[in-house]
Amino acid sequence: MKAAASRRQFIQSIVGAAAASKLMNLMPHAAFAAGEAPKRLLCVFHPMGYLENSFWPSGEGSSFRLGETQTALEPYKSKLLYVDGLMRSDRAYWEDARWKVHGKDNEHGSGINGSFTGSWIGDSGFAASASIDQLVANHLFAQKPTPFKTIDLAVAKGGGPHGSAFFAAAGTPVKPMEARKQAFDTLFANLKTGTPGGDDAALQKEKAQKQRVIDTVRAEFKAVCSRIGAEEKAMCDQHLAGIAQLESRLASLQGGASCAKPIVGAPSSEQSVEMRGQMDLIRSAFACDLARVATLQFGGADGGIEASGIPGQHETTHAVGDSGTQSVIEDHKKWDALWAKDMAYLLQQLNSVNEGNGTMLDNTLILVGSDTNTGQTIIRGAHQGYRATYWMAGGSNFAFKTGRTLKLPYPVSNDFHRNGPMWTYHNALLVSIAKAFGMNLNAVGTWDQGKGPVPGLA
Amino acid sequence: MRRRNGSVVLLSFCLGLGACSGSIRPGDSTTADDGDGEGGARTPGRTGGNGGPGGPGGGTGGGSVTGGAGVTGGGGTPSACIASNATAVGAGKWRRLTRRQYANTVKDLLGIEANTSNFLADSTTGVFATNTLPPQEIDVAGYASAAEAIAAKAVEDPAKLTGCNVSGADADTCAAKFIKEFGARAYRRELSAEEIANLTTTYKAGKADGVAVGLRLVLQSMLQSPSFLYMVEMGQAGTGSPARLTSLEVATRLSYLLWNTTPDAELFAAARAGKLDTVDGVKGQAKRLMTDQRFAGTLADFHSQLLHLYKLTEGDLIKKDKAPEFDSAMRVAMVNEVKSFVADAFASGQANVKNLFTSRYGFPSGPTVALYGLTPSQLTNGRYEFKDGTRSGLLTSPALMAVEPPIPTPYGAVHRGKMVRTVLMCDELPPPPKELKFMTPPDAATVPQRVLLEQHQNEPSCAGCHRLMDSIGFGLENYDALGRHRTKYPKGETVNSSGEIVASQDIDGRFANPQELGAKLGSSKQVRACLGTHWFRYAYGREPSADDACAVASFADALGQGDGDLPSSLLSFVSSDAFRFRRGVQ
Repeated sequence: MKAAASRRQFIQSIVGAAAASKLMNLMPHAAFAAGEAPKRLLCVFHPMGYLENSFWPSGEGSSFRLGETQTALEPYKSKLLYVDGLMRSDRAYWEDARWKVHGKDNEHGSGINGSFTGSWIGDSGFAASASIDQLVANHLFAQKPTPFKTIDLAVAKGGGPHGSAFFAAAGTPVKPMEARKQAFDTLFANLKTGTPGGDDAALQKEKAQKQRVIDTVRAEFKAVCSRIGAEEKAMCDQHLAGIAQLESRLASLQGGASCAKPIVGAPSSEQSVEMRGQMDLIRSAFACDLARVATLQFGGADGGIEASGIPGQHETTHAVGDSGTQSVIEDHKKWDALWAKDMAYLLQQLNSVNEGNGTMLDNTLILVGSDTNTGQTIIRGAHQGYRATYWMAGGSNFAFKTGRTLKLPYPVSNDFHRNGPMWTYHNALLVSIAKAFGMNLNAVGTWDQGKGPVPGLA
Repeated sequence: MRRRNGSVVLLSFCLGLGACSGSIRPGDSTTADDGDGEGGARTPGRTGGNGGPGGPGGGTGGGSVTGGAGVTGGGGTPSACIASNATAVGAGKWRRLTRRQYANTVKDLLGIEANTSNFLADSTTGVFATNTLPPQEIDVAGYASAAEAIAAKAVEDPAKLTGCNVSGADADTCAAKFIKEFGARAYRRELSAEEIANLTTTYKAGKADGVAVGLRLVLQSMLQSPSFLYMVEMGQAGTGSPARLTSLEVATRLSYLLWNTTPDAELFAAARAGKLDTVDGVKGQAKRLMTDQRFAGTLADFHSQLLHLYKLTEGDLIKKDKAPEFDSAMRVAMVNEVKSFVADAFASGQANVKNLFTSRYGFPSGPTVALYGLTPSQLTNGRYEFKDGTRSGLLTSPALMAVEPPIPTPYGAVHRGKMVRTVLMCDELPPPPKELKFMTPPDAATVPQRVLLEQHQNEPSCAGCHRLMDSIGFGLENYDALGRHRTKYPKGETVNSSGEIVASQDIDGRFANPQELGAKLGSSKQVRACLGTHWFRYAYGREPSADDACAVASFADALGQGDGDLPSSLLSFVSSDAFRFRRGVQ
């Protein structure tokens, strides 16, 4: 059985998605008992968002048709959820007086920092609060610790204030792993896939030794940390938290789990291969219940992901605003379709693992967001923030009803103060998500308007 | 198609700067952000984003002339440079060893090559990897697995590790000696009685399975200790605030600054004997460290990071990949050339600022030989003299020219000028305004190159900022995207590399070519003060605060002398109070 399982994974890794979907159902996923359904959150960042008209579904409610660039997602239509009519708060400078005080950096910088935090950039040069994934992770972890609080992976994220979409706290970007081998080593190194309930002396000895080292190191940290100033306090606290995590991870040395380690292929210069490889890692880590929150960051605020045969994403989005000719619009659509295709792979992976009464996808809320998106109606051009092209998938077992499009009222022209209803900031979406995980929050992020969650979503 | 899109991006950039009124924003005069500001933000050049802290008050007509971070008021040494005055020393915090420092330290202590690939990337201060942000879970896990692997390897030969007899009745004595002696080297201080007791318990816990296991657990613990992973600074008890660092703490700072590794036996012994409590003691050791090749390695590391040369080998510059000759061999050769240049400057006593900008020789190797239009036989011991005057130090090196601009564009002068302005002159350019407008650029295929380049300055809304950078960048037009020298553009017209520096502190005026540009930069007090600020970041892992005015100004003063000799300036730097005292110690 075990050998067969790894052969399946091997086949999956070489044959790719089509074969995998059939085989994944057979993979062990004993981390959860039948009927048990974990709540998970997976946040995905990719640059530049989507071109407005070809992205949004037509029709409302459950009878909608996917946007023309998004048809790769068709098989999962019943698990998609669109909220049309949100405004990125980091781009709401024409209607928010706070913008003059707190608006920093350009739209890419403020966009990537604000995309999952709903916050402006603080004095640190980074977002002034934690992102939704980390907030939810803290909440879930307090209820039930997992070996990792979050799993953060990235491809070509770039550095500096334009290179981080996810934040552990104000001014503290998470540091995602980019190399799949490193991620594999870190995530799965301690995972023993022995007989369920089994145990053996060597394992116990190894565990005792690791525990002794942890105790020694912790004692030294505590001694040093008792004599320091405030400057070092954060360092001590975070390091001790990391040690506590190491310790909790020892639990997975008990030999009880029978989930399967993924196969990690060789690093590829093809970014799509890297991205999909990371999606595989997340799927396997979720299956083994190594974490219940994960982030995937593909590219940074100014791009970073390349696709052969299409001009760069950044220049493409600019060109749409500049000349707006049919050919640059087609380029933009190609980009949008590519993202849909990669995301479809992710949905497929999660949807192919049975879990409880549904699939892993039903137990995982996926939120896809970007630093900016490209406008065509109210303002034509690159790097807009209105009708923010966030979209969601999965999580229907606990979060929101999927398979629908929710339309929010919004102004009809760029005379934003006089033409119809005001915008709802994307912070409201973050609030809705926090609530879906049982958090008692009515505001998320420094830009929050105080409107609470998105009406009609939950 | 591609070219056209490139133009669009840059023109939007131009108009993005339309808000710039023509003056340079002075640096934040009190960068007192020791909490969350340090370590995270990177400079504009690295991200293309808006400014990090820094930038002197040039161009604003103020009297502020020193200190790249704009923290001092006027020349001369501020009166606050006295040890007992708390304001003479900014508050800093402990640093975790960077990847490089960790690997060097393990190598020096144990002779083992550590695999640091499971650590997260170092956080940065300015452009420098300094690792001052708190660790994340993954870091802690990375340290644990690295310690496990290193310790397992080290105990393969316990006698070699301990230097004593690990069999029979002697084993415990040997282990006790190892804990005390090796522990002191690993922790860079004497161990406390509690630490010795704790580690001895750990040894005994493992010893049930053999002495080697006991030693392994001890070593594994030590390599995860705060005293190993961090440059822990407690200061000397009872010396108030700022506290005087212990002799060993000073030695640690000195060694990691000048060699990027742990103190060697000689420095450690001197420090243990308290000899680094005096300025003379520090100077004596610093002089010794700065005669070693490892110091040349640090100089190369500093300049490579400063000029963002990591982009050449870390997979950035994606778009330039499209030039087939710009392969990994070429990139490595470009970086190696800079290393050779710095090593040679060091060996010949020419490690000074002037030389960095004006030298007329280089060290082409491998694929860069052809890039220079040379053949290997024309080199003498790997060195080539550019008697035709086509080169001017690091400023015109293919490595730097390949990094800037990072994309194929006819507007490379903008990128290069911005790099000089922000990285070498420490001026901060305002961020683009929030709303970008677009205009159609002239056709780069038909308009003469210089006309194309000057259009930013003919458009009033662009000129304010672009004259600050483009006119400098013109001086590097003699080098193509990969740093090949050229006198004509592909279109056939002759390159005009004359330009002008405006709104600087001391080098305003026209120049005719890259060599004259290099000479201006090499002689500039502003550039030297800027480099001083970069060295401060490199050394302390934080932005200088108002309290650091003294340290920054005196370093700038030292670099401002003569040709700006780096070793002698660093000597004054490490003998300053800021280097030997610390605030924020309880």
